[in-house]
Amino acid sequence: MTDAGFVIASWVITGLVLGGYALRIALRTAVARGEKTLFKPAAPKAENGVDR
Amino acid sequence: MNAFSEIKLIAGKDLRIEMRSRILLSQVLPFGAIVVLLFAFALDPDRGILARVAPGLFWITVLLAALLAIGRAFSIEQQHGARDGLRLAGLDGSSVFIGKAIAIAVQLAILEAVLGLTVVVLYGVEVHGVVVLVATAAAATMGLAAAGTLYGVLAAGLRARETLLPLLLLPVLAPVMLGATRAFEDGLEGVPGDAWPWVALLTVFALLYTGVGMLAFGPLWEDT
Amino acid sequence: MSEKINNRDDRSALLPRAVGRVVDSLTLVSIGALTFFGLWASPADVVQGDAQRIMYLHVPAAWAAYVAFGITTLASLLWLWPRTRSAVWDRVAGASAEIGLIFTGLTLLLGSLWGRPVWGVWWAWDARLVSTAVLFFLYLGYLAIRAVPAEPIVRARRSAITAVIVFIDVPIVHFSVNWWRTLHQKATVFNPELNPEIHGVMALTLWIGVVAFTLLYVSLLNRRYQLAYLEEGLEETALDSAILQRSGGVK
Repeated sequence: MTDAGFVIASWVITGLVLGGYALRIALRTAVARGEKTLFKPAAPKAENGVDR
Repeated sequence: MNAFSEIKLIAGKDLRIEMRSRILLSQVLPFGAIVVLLFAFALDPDRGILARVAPGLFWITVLLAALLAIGRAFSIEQQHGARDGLRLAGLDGSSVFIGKAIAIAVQLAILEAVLGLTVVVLYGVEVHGVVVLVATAAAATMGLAAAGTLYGVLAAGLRARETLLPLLLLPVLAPVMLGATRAFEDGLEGVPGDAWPWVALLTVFALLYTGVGMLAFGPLWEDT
Repeated sequence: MSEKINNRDDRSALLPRAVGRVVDSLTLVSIGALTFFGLWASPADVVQGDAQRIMYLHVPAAWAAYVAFGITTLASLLWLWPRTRSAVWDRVAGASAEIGLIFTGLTLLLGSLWGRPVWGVWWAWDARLVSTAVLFFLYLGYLAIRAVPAEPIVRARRSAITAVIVFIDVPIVHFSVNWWRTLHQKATVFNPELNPEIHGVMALTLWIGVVAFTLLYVSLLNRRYQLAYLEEGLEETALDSAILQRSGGVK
Protein backbone atom coordinates (compact mmCIF):
# COMPACT_ATOMS: atom_id res chain seq x y z
CA MET A 1 0.00 0.00 0.00
CA THR A 2 1.24 3.49 -0.78
CA ASP A 3 1.58 6.27 1.78
CA ALA A 4 -1.53 7.91 0.39
CA GLY A 5 -3.35 4.62 0.89
CA PHE A 6 -2.43 4.60 4.55
CA VAL A 7 -3.63 8.19 4.91
CA ILE A 8 -6.97 7.41 3.27
CA ALA A 9 -7.30 4.30 5.42
CA SER A 10 -6.65 6.32 8.57
CA TRP A 11 -9.34 8.84 7.67
CA VAL A 12 -11.83 6.11 6.80
CA ILE A 13 -11.14 4.17 10.01
CA THR A 14 -11.47 7.33 12.11
CA GLY A 15 -14.79 8.06 10.42
CA LEU A 16 -16.04 4.53 10.95
CA VAL A 17 -15.01 4.35 14.61
CA LEU A 18 -16.28 7.78 15.64
CA GLY A 19 -19.29 7.72 13.35
CA GLY A 20 -20.19 4.25 14.53
CA TYR A 21 -19.91 5.31 18.14
CA ALA A 22 -22.05 8.43 17.60
CA LEU A 23 -24.62 6.32 15.77
CA ARG A 24 -24.69 3.81 18.59
CA ILE A 25 -25.34 6.58 21.12
CA ALA A 26 -28.12 7.98 18.92
CA LEU A 27 -29.73 4.56 18.54
CA ARG A 28 -29.59 3.76 22.23
CA THR A 29 -31.00 7.21 23.01
CA ALA A 30 -33.92 6.58 20.69
CA VAL A 31 -34.54 3.23 22.38
CA ALA A 32 -34.34 4.79 25.84
CA ARG A 33 -36.88 7.40 24.80
CA GLY A 34 -39.22 4.75 23.53
CA GLU A 35 -39.02 5.99 19.93
CA LYS A 36 -37.56 2.74 18.78
CA THR A 37 -37.83 -0.75 20.08
CA LEU A 38 -35.33 -3.54 19.71
CA PHE A 39 -37.72 -6.28 20.70
CA LYS A 40 -40.78 -7.06 18.70
CA PRO A 41 -43.56 -7.03 21.23
CA ALA A 42 -45.55 -9.61 19.28
CA ALA A 43 -45.21 -13.40 19.49
CA PRO A 44 -45.27 -13.79 23.23
CA LYS A 45 -45.82 -17.50 23.04
CA ALA A 46 -44.27 -19.89 25.50
CA GLU A 47 -41.69 -17.54 26.90
CA ASN A 48 -39.38 -19.21 29.38
CA GLY A 49 -41.15 -22.44 28.67
CA VAL A 50 -44.38 -21.26 30.21
CA ASP A 51 -47.45 -21.02 28.02
CA ARG A 52 -49.69 -18.16 28.85
CA MET B 1 -8.85 -2.49 70.78
CA ASN B 2 -6.09 -0.54 69.12
CA ALA B 3 -5.27 -0.63 65.42
CA PHE B 4 -2.34 -2.95 65.88
CA SER B 5 -4.31 -5.70 67.59
CA GLU B 6 -7.11 -5.30 65.01
CA ILE B 7 -4.60 -5.86 62.23
CA LYS B 8 -3.16 -8.86 64.05
CA LEU B 9 -6.63 -10.26 64.50
CA ILE B 10 -7.54 -10.05 60.82
CA ALA B 11 -4.19 -11.28 59.51
CA GLY B 12 -4.19 -14.09 62.08
CA LYS B 13 -7.73 -15.10 61.14
CA ASP B 14 -6.97 -15.27 57.41
CA LEU B 15 -3.73 -17.17 57.94
CA ARG B 16 -5.40 -19.57 60.33
CA ILE B 17 -8.08 -20.33 57.75
CA GLU B 18 -5.31 -20.97 55.24
CA MET B 19 -3.42 -23.19 57.67
CA ARG B 20 -6.50 -25.33 58.09
CA SER B 21 -7.80 -25.41 54.54
CA ARG B 22 -4.36 -25.54 52.88
CA ILE B 23 -5.70 -24.13 49.64
CA LEU B 24 -2.43 -22.33 48.98
CA LEU B 25 -0.27 -25.40 49.50
CA SER B 26 -2.51 -27.92 47.82
CA GLN B 27 -3.83 -25.83 44.91
CA VAL B 28 -2.11 -22.49 44.27
CA LEU B 29 1.47 -23.74 44.65
CA PRO B 30 1.00 -26.74 42.36
CA PHE B 31 -0.67 -24.39 39.86
CA GLY B 32 2.45 -22.19 39.89
CA ALA B 33 4.69 -25.22 39.51
CA ILE B 34 2.83 -26.49 36.47
CA VAL B 35 3.03 -23.03 34.87
CA VAL B 36 6.81 -23.10 35.42
CA LEU B 37 6.88 -26.50 33.75
CA LEU B 38 4.73 -25.35 30.82
CA PHE B 39 7.06 -22.43 30.09
CA ALA B 40 9.79 -25.01 29.48
CA PHE B 41 7.54 -26.72 26.93
CA ALA B 42 6.86 -23.40 25.21
CA LEU B 43 10.46 -22.18 25.15
CA ASP B 44 12.48 -25.32 24.43
CA PRO B 45 14.89 -25.92 27.37
CA ASP B 46 17.82 -26.89 25.14
CA ARG B 47 18.48 -23.47 23.71
CA GLY B 48 19.36 -21.68 26.93
CA ILE B 49 16.46 -19.27 26.61
CA LEU B 50 14.90 -20.33 29.89
CA ALA B 51 17.78 -19.20 32.10
CA ARG B 52 17.92 -15.84 30.34
CA VAL B 53 14.22 -15.07 30.63
CA ALA B 54 13.78 -16.74 34.02
CA PRO B 55 13.08 -13.45 35.91
CA GLY B 56 10.18 -12.61 33.61
CA LEU B 57 8.73 -16.10 33.70
CA PHE B 58 9.07 -16.20 37.48
CA TRP B 59 7.15 -12.95 37.94
CA ILE B 60 4.44 -13.89 35.46
CA THR B 61 3.93 -17.11 37.38
CA VAL B 62 3.81 -15.23 40.68
CA LEU B 63 1.31 -12.76 39.20
CA LEU B 64 -1.01 -15.53 38.02
CA ALA B 65 -0.79 -17.35 41.31
CA ALA B 66 -1.34 -14.06 43.17
CA LEU B 67 -4.63 -13.61 41.33
CA LEU B 68 -5.81 -16.90 42.78
CA ALA B 69 -4.59 -16.03 46.27
CA ILE B 70 -6.34 -12.65 46.18
CA GLY B 71 -9.59 -14.13 44.94
CA ARG B 72 -9.35 -16.69 47.71
CA ALA B 73 -8.76 -14.01 50.36
CA PHE B 74 -12.19 -12.59 49.61
CA SER B 75 -14.08 -15.75 48.82
CA ILE B 76 -13.45 -16.91 52.40
CA GLU B 77 -15.55 -13.95 53.52
CA GLN B 78 -18.49 -15.10 51.40
CA GLN B 79 -19.25 -18.24 53.35
CA HIS B 80 -21.30 -18.55 56.51
CA GLY B 81 -22.02 -14.82 56.62
CA ALA B 82 -18.39 -14.17 57.56
CA ARG B 83 -18.48 -10.80 55.84
CA ASP B 84 -21.43 -9.56 57.86
CA GLY B 85 -19.88 -10.82 61.05
CA LEU B 86 -16.66 -9.00 60.29
CA ARG B 87 -18.51 -5.82 59.40
CA LEU B 88 -20.50 -5.96 62.59
CA ALA B 89 -17.35 -6.42 64.64
CA GLY B 90 -16.83 -2.67 64.42
CA LEU B 91 -13.26 -2.86 63.18
CA ASP B 92 -11.67 0.06 61.44
CA GLY B 93 -11.70 -0.27 57.63
CA SER B 94 -8.02 0.52 57.31
CA SER B 95 -7.14 -2.14 59.91
CA VAL B 96 -9.07 -4.77 57.98
CA PHE B 97 -7.26 -3.66 54.82
CA ILE B 98 -3.80 -3.90 56.39
CA GLY B 99 -4.63 -7.20 58.06
CA LYS B 100 -5.85 -8.83 54.86
CA ALA B 101 -2.94 -7.38 52.89
CA ILE B 102 -0.45 -8.81 55.39
CA ALA B 103 -2.10 -12.24 55.19
CA ILE B 104 -1.88 -12.11 51.38
CA ALA B 105 1.74 -10.89 51.54
CA VAL B 106 2.75 -13.77 53.81
CA GLN B 107 1.17 -16.28 51.45
CA LEU B 108 2.81 -14.65 48.45
CA ALA B 109 6.19 -14.70 50.17
CA ILE B 110 5.90 -18.46 50.71
CA LEU B 111 4.76 -18.85 47.12
CA GLU B 112 7.70 -16.82 45.80
CA ALA B 113 10.22 -18.75 47.88
CA VAL B 114 9.03 -22.13 46.63
CA LEU B 115 8.53 -21.04 43.02
CA GLY B 116 11.88 -19.22 43.05
CA LEU B 117 13.61 -22.39 44.12
CA THR B 118 11.76 -24.36 41.44
CA VAL B 119 12.79 -21.88 38.76
CA VAL B 120 16.44 -21.90 39.89
CA VAL B 121 16.57 -25.68 39.81
CA LEU B 122 14.55 -26.36 36.66
CA TYR B 123 15.85 -23.49 34.51
CA GLY B 124 19.46 -23.74 35.70
CA VAL B 125 19.74 -20.15 36.90
CA GLU B 126 22.93 -19.05 38.65
CA VAL B 127 22.01 -16.96 41.64
CA HIS B 128 23.87 -13.69 42.23
CA GLY B 129 23.07 -10.61 44.27
CA VAL B 130 20.83 -12.21 46.85
CA VAL B 131 20.38 -8.91 48.72
CA VAL B 132 18.90 -7.20 45.67
CA LEU B 133 16.69 -10.18 44.90
CA VAL B 134 15.27 -10.28 48.42
CA ALA B 135 14.73 -6.51 48.54
CA THR B 136 12.98 -6.61 45.15
CA ALA B 137 10.79 -9.49 46.17
CA ALA B 138 9.87 -7.76 49.44
CA ALA B 139 8.90 -4.49 47.74
CA ALA B 140 7.05 -6.23 44.91
CA THR B 141 5.17 -8.46 47.35
CA MET B 142 4.03 -5.44 49.34
CA GLY B 143 2.80 -3.78 46.16
CA LEU B 144 1.03 -6.92 44.94
CA ALA B 145 -0.64 -7.43 48.30
CA ALA B 146 -1.75 -3.80 48.69
CA ALA B 147 -3.12 -3.36 45.16
CA GLY B 148 -4.51 -6.88 45.24
CA THR B 149 -6.43 -6.33 48.47
CA LEU B 150 -7.82 -3.05 47.19
CA TYR B 151 -9.05 -4.53 43.91
CA GLY B 152 -10.05 -7.71 45.65
CA VAL B 153 -12.60 -5.88 47.79
CA LEU B 154 -13.74 -3.90 44.77
CA ALA B 155 -14.57 -7.09 42.89
CA ALA B 156 -15.73 -9.03 45.93
CA GLY B 157 -19.40 -9.83 45.93
CA LEU B 158 -19.82 -8.88 42.28
CA ARG B 159 -21.39 -11.38 39.99
CA ALA B 160 -18.51 -11.73 37.53
CA ARG B 161 -15.69 -11.35 40.04
CA GLU B 162 -13.61 -14.30 38.81
CA THR B 163 -13.25 -12.74 35.38
CA LEU B 164 -13.33 -9.14 36.51
CA LEU B 165 -10.43 -9.36 38.96
CA PRO B 166 -7.72 -10.26 36.41
CA LEU B 167 -8.94 -7.62 33.97
CA LEU B 168 -8.80 -4.97 36.68
CA LEU B 169 -5.65 -6.09 38.41
CA LEU B 170 -3.23 -7.04 35.64
CA PRO B 171 -2.96 -3.59 33.99
CA VAL B 172 -2.56 -1.98 37.41
CA LEU B 173 0.19 -4.45 38.30
CA ALA B 174 2.01 -3.96 34.98
CA PRO B 175 4.58 -1.59 36.56
CA VAL B 176 5.24 -4.11 39.37
CA MET B 177 5.81 -6.87 36.85
CA LEU B 178 8.09 -4.60 34.84
CA GLY B 179 10.08 -3.28 37.81
CA ALA B 180 10.50 -6.62 39.55
CA THR B 181 11.62 -8.35 36.35
CA ARG B 182 14.21 -5.68 35.52
CA ALA B 183 15.53 -5.63 39.07
CA PHE B 184 15.86 -9.42 39.08
CA GLU B 185 17.68 -9.34 35.74
CA ASP B 186 20.10 -6.70 36.99
CA GLY B 187 20.66 -8.63 40.20
CA LEU B 188 21.32 -11.91 38.41
CA GLU B 189 23.59 -10.27 35.86
CA GLY B 190 25.72 -8.94 38.68
CA VAL B 191 24.87 -5.24 38.26
CA PRO B 192 22.85 -4.63 41.44
CA GLY B 193 23.49 -0.90 41.12
CA ASP B 194 21.01 -0.77 38.22
CA ALA B 195 18.41 -2.65 40.24
CA TRP B 196 18.01 -0.22 43.13
CA PRO B 197 16.03 2.43 41.18
CA TRP B 198 13.53 -0.29 40.31
CA VAL B 199 13.32 -1.35 43.93
CA ALA B 200 12.61 2.29 44.77
CA LEU B 201 9.83 2.35 42.16
CA LEU B 202 8.32 -0.83 43.59
CA THR B 203 8.45 0.67 47.08
CA VAL B 204 6.71 3.85 45.92
CA PHE B 205 4.02 1.71 44.28
CA ALA B 206 3.53 -0.31 47.46
CA LEU B 207 3.32 2.76 49.70
CA LEU B 208 0.95 4.57 47.35
CA TYR B 209 -1.47 1.68 47.15
CA THR B 210 -1.23 1.03 50.89
CA GLY B 211 -2.20 4.66 51.47
CA VAL B 212 -5.08 4.63 49.00
CA GLY B 213 -6.20 1.25 50.26
CA MET B 214 -6.41 2.45 53.85
CA LEU B 215 -8.60 5.34 52.75
CA ALA B 216 -10.81 3.50 50.27
CA PHE B 217 -11.19 0.07 51.80
CA GLY B 218 -13.72 1.11 54.45
CA PRO B 219 -16.43 2.47 52.13
CA LEU B 220 -15.90 -0.32 49.58
CA TRP B 221 -16.06 -2.96 52.28
CA GLU B 222 -19.37 -1.55 53.54
CA ASP B 223 -20.88 -1.91 50.08
CA THR B 224 -19.91 -5.46 49.21
CA MET C 1 -45.44 2.79 19.58
CA SER C 2 -46.91 5.90 21.10
CA GLU C 3 -47.04 5.34 24.82
CA LYS C 4 -44.44 7.00 26.93
CA ILE C 5 -42.02 4.50 28.36
CA ASN C 6 -39.63 6.92 30.00
CA ASN C 7 -40.67 9.42 32.61
CA ARG C 8 -37.44 11.36 32.52
CA ASP C 9 -37.40 14.88 31.16
CA ASP C 10 -36.26 14.83 27.60
CA ARG C 11 -34.27 18.03 27.89
CA SER C 12 -31.70 16.16 29.87
CA ALA C 13 -28.45 16.76 28.02
CA LEU C 14 -25.46 18.14 29.87
CA LEU C 15 -25.50 21.39 27.93
CA PRO C 16 -28.48 23.66 27.29
CA ARG C 17 -30.09 22.75 24.01
CA ALA C 18 -28.94 25.86 22.11
CA VAL C 19 -25.35 25.47 23.31
CA GLY C 20 -25.42 21.81 22.36
CA ARG C 21 -26.56 22.69 18.85
CA VAL C 22 -23.78 25.26 18.46
CA VAL C 23 -21.18 22.72 19.65
CA ASP C 24 -22.53 20.09 17.25
CA SER C 25 -22.37 22.39 14.26
CA LEU C 26 -18.94 23.71 15.18
CA THR C 27 -17.76 20.11 15.49
CA LEU C 28 -18.95 19.28 11.99
CA VAL C 29 -17.42 22.46 10.54
CA SER C 30 -14.07 21.88 12.23
CA ILE C 31 -13.95 18.24 11.14
CA GLY C 32 -14.59 19.41 7.60
CA ALA C 33 -11.81 21.98 7.96
CA LEU C 34 -9.46 19.35 9.37
CA THR C 35 -10.13 17.05 6.42
CA PHE C 36 -9.54 19.86 3.96
CA PHE C 37 -6.34 21.08 5.60
CA GLY C 38 -5.07 17.64 6.48
CA LEU C 39 -5.60 16.04 3.08
CA TRP C 40 -5.19 18.96 0.69
CA ALA C 41 -4.00 22.30 2.02
CA SER C 42 -1.04 21.18 4.10
CA PRO C 43 2.15 20.19 2.30
CA ALA C 44 3.57 16.68 2.48
CA ASP C 45 6.36 16.23 4.99
CA VAL C 46 9.92 16.44 3.64
CA VAL C 47 11.04 13.27 5.43
CA GLN C 48 7.89 11.22 5.74
CA GLY C 49 5.95 12.27 2.69
CA ASP C 50 2.20 11.86 2.77
CA ALA C 51 2.21 9.36 5.65
CA GLN C 52 2.82 12.21 8.05
CA ARG C 53 -0.76 13.41 7.44
CA ILE C 54 -1.94 10.67 9.81
CA MET C 55 -0.50 12.85 12.57
CA TYR C 56 -3.39 15.28 12.09
CA LEU C 57 -5.75 12.59 13.40
CA HIS C 58 -3.43 10.65 15.68
CA VAL C 59 -2.21 13.50 17.88
CA PRO C 60 -5.64 15.14 18.36
CA ALA C 61 -7.19 11.74 19.18
CA ALA C 62 -4.54 11.15 21.84
CA TRP C 63 -5.13 14.65 23.18
CA ALA C 64 -8.89 14.10 23.38
CA ALA C 65 -8.33 10.77 25.18
CA TYR C 66 -6.24 12.48 27.85
CA VAL C 67 -8.84 15.23 28.24
CA ALA C 68 -11.56 12.62 28.60
CA PHE C 69 -9.73 10.62 31.27
CA GLY C 70 -8.83 13.85 33.07
CA ILE C 71 -12.52 14.81 33.17
CA THR C 72 -13.40 11.34 34.44
CA THR C 73 -10.97 11.75 37.33
CA LEU C 74 -12.17 15.25 38.11
CA ALA C 75 -15.83 14.24 38.04
CA SER C 76 -15.09 11.22 40.26
CA LEU C 77 -13.34 13.44 42.80
CA LEU C 78 -16.28 15.85 42.73
CA TRP C 79 -18.58 12.92 43.41
CA LEU C 80 -16.41 11.72 46.30
CA TRP C 81 -16.28 15.20 47.85
CA PRO C 82 -19.46 15.23 49.97
CA ARG C 83 -20.33 18.86 49.30
CA THR C 84 -20.36 18.46 45.53
CA ARG C 85 -21.74 14.92 45.44
CA SER C 86 -24.33 14.57 42.70
CA ALA C 87 -25.45 11.92 40.25
CA VAL C 88 -24.41 14.39 37.54
CA TRP C 89 -20.73 13.76 38.27
CA ASP C 90 -21.20 10.01 38.22
CA ARG C 91 -22.77 10.17 34.76
CA VAL C 92 -20.11 12.58 33.50
CA ALA C 93 -17.36 10.28 34.78
CA GLY C 94 -18.81 7.21 33.10
CA ALA C 95 -19.64 8.97 29.84
CA SER C 96 -16.23 10.60 29.63
CA ALA C 97 -14.37 7.35 30.33
CA GLU C 98 -16.24 5.56 27.57
CA ILE C 99 -15.44 8.30 25.06
CA GLY C 100 -11.85 8.34 26.29
CA LEU C 101 -11.60 4.61 25.68
CA ILE C 102 -12.88 5.05 22.12
CA PHE C 103 -10.31 7.79 21.50
CA THR C 104 -7.53 5.71 23.06
CA GLY C 105 -8.40 2.76 20.86
CA LEU C 106 -8.47 5.05 17.86
CA THR C 107 -5.10 6.51 18.83
CA LEU C 108 -3.59 3.02 18.94
CA LEU C 109 -5.15 2.09 15.60
CA LEU C 110 -3.93 5.26 13.94
CA GLY C 111 -0.50 4.91 15.50
CA SER C 112 -0.28 1.44 14.03
CA LEU C 113 -1.36 2.70 10.61
CA TRP C 114 1.25 5.42 10.84
CA GLY C 115 3.98 3.12 12.09
CA ARG C 116 3.70 0.76 9.14
CA PRO C 117 4.83 3.18 6.39
CA VAL C 118 7.19 5.19 8.60
CA TRP C 119 8.86 2.59 10.83
CA GLY C 120 8.11 -0.42 8.66
CA VAL C 121 6.24 -2.21 11.46
CA TRP C 122 2.68 -2.18 12.74
CA TRP C 123 3.79 -2.06 16.32
CA ALA C 124 7.01 -0.90 17.97
CA TRP C 125 7.89 -1.24 21.64
CA ASP C 126 8.03 2.47 21.95
CA ALA C 127 7.45 3.82 25.47
CA ARG C 128 4.48 5.94 24.49
CA LEU C 129 2.79 3.13 22.57
CA VAL C 130 3.18 0.70 25.42
CA SER C 131 1.88 3.07 28.08
CA THR C 132 -1.07 4.00 25.86
CA ALA C 133 -1.92 0.32 25.51
CA VAL C 134 -1.80 -0.17 29.29
CA LEU C 135 -3.96 2.95 29.67
CA PHE C 136 -6.51 1.36 27.36
CA PHE C 137 -6.76 -1.72 29.53
CA LEU C 138 -6.88 0.29 32.77
CA TYR C 139 -9.97 2.13 31.61
CA LEU C 140 -11.46 -0.99 30.09
CA GLY C 141 -11.36 -2.38 33.63
CA TYR C 142 -12.97 0.77 34.98
CA LEU C 143 -15.85 0.47 32.52
CA ALA C 144 -16.21 -3.23 33.36
CA ILE C 145 -16.67 -2.26 37.03
CA ARG C 146 -19.23 0.35 35.99
CA ALA C 147 -21.14 -2.20 33.97
CA VAL C 148 -21.82 -4.38 37.02
CA PRO C 149 -25.36 -3.64 38.17
CA ALA C 150 -25.85 -2.38 41.72
CA GLU C 151 -27.74 0.19 43.73
CA PRO C 152 -27.09 3.59 42.13
CA ILE C 153 -25.25 4.99 45.15
CA VAL C 154 -23.15 1.84 45.59
CA ARG C 155 -22.29 1.77 41.92
CA ALA C 156 -21.40 5.46 41.91
CA ARG C 157 -19.13 5.13 44.93
CA ARG C 158 -17.44 2.02 43.60
CA SER C 159 -16.91 3.67 40.20
CA ALA C 160 -15.59 6.92 41.64
CA ILE C 161 -13.06 5.12 43.85
CA THR C 162 -11.99 2.92 40.94
CA ALA C 163 -11.50 5.96 38.73
CA VAL C 164 -9.18 7.51 41.30
CA ILE C 165 -7.20 4.28 41.80
CA VAL C 166 -6.83 3.85 38.06
CA PHE C 167 -5.71 7.43 37.60
CA ILE C 168 -3.01 7.03 40.25
CA ASP C 169 -1.59 4.17 38.21
CA VAL C 170 -1.26 6.23 35.02
CA PRO C 171 1.89 8.19 36.00
CA ILE C 172 3.48 5.04 37.49
CA VAL C 173 2.89 3.13 34.27
CA HIS C 174 4.13 6.02 32.19
CA PHE C 175 7.24 6.49 34.31
CA SER C 176 8.18 2.81 34.55
CA VAL C 177 7.67 2.14 30.86
CA ASN C 178 9.67 5.22 29.89
CA TRP C 179 12.44 4.15 32.20
CA TRP C 180 12.44 0.64 30.81
CA ARG C 181 12.65 1.72 27.17
CA THR C 182 15.33 4.35 27.73
CA LEU C 183 17.43 2.66 30.40
CA HIS C 184 17.87 -0.66 28.67
CA GLN C 185 17.61 0.22 25.02
CA LYS C 186 18.63 3.62 23.86
CA ALA C 187 15.60 5.12 22.16
CA THR C 188 15.58 3.02 19.04
CA VAL C 189 12.60 4.48 17.37
CA PHE C 190 12.61 7.78 15.64
CA ASN C 191 9.63 9.53 17.10
CA PRO C 192 8.16 11.92 14.56
CA GLU C 193 5.94 13.59 17.11
CA LEU C 194 8.98 15.12 18.70
CA ASN C 195 9.97 16.84 15.50
CA PRO C 196 10.28 20.45 16.66
CA GLU C 197 10.24 21.87 13.16
CA ILE C 198 6.54 21.91 12.63
CA HIS C 199 5.28 25.28 11.57
CA GLY C 200 3.22 27.16 9.07
CA VAL C 201 0.28 25.36 7.55
CA MET C 202 1.21 22.10 9.25
CA ALA C 203 1.04 23.61 12.72
CA LEU C 204 -2.24 25.29 11.81
CA THR C 205 -3.67 21.96 10.63
CA LEU C 206 -2.60 20.27 13.83
CA TRP C 207 -4.29 23.00 15.86
CA ILE C 208 -7.48 22.63 13.83
CA GLY C 209 -7.30 18.93 14.61
CA VAL C 210 -6.97 19.55 18.34
CA VAL C 211 -9.90 21.97 18.28
CA ALA C 212 -12.02 19.59 16.18
CA PHE C 213 -11.42 16.62 18.45
CA THR C 214 -12.01 18.67 21.59
CA LEU C 215 -15.33 19.88 20.18
CA LEU C 216 -16.19 16.34 19.15
CA TYR C 217 -15.41 15.20 22.67
CA VAL C 218 -17.74 17.81 24.17
CA SER C 219 -20.46 16.95 21.68
CA LEU C 220 -20.19 13.22 22.35
CA LEU C 221 -20.04 13.77 26.12
CA ASN C 222 -23.21 15.82 25.89
CA ARG C 223 -25.03 13.02 24.06
CA ARG C 224 -23.59 10.19 26.09
CA TYR C 225 -24.55 11.96 29.29
CA GLN C 226 -28.11 12.31 28.07
CA LEU C 227 -28.18 8.63 27.21
CA ALA C 228 -26.93 7.68 30.70
CA TYR C 229 -29.64 9.85 32.22
CA LEU C 230 -32.40 8.37 30.06
CA GLU C 231 -31.27 4.80 30.65
CA GLU C 232 -31.35 5.35 34.41
CA GLY C 233 -34.93 6.48 33.94
CA LEU C 234 -35.70 3.31 32.03
CA GLU C 235 -34.24 1.21 34.80
CA GLU C 236 -36.32 2.81 37.51
CA THR C 237 -39.66 3.54 35.88
CA ALA C 238 -40.15 1.60 32.71
CA LEU C 239 -39.40 -1.91 33.86
CA ASP C 240 -43.04 -2.72 34.45
CA SER C 241 -44.25 -1.33 31.16
CA ALA C 242 -41.44 -3.08 29.31
CA ILE C 243 -42.49 -6.38 30.81
CA LEU C 244 -46.07 -5.60 29.91
CA GLN C 245 -45.12 -4.87 26.32
CA ARG C 246 -43.07 -7.97 25.91
CA SER C 247 -45.85 -10.07 27.29
CA GLY C 248 -48.31 -8.92 24.68
CA GLY C 249 -48.87 -5.22 25.13
CA VAL C 250 -52.10 -5.74 27.02
CA LYS C 251 -52.74 -2.87 29.33
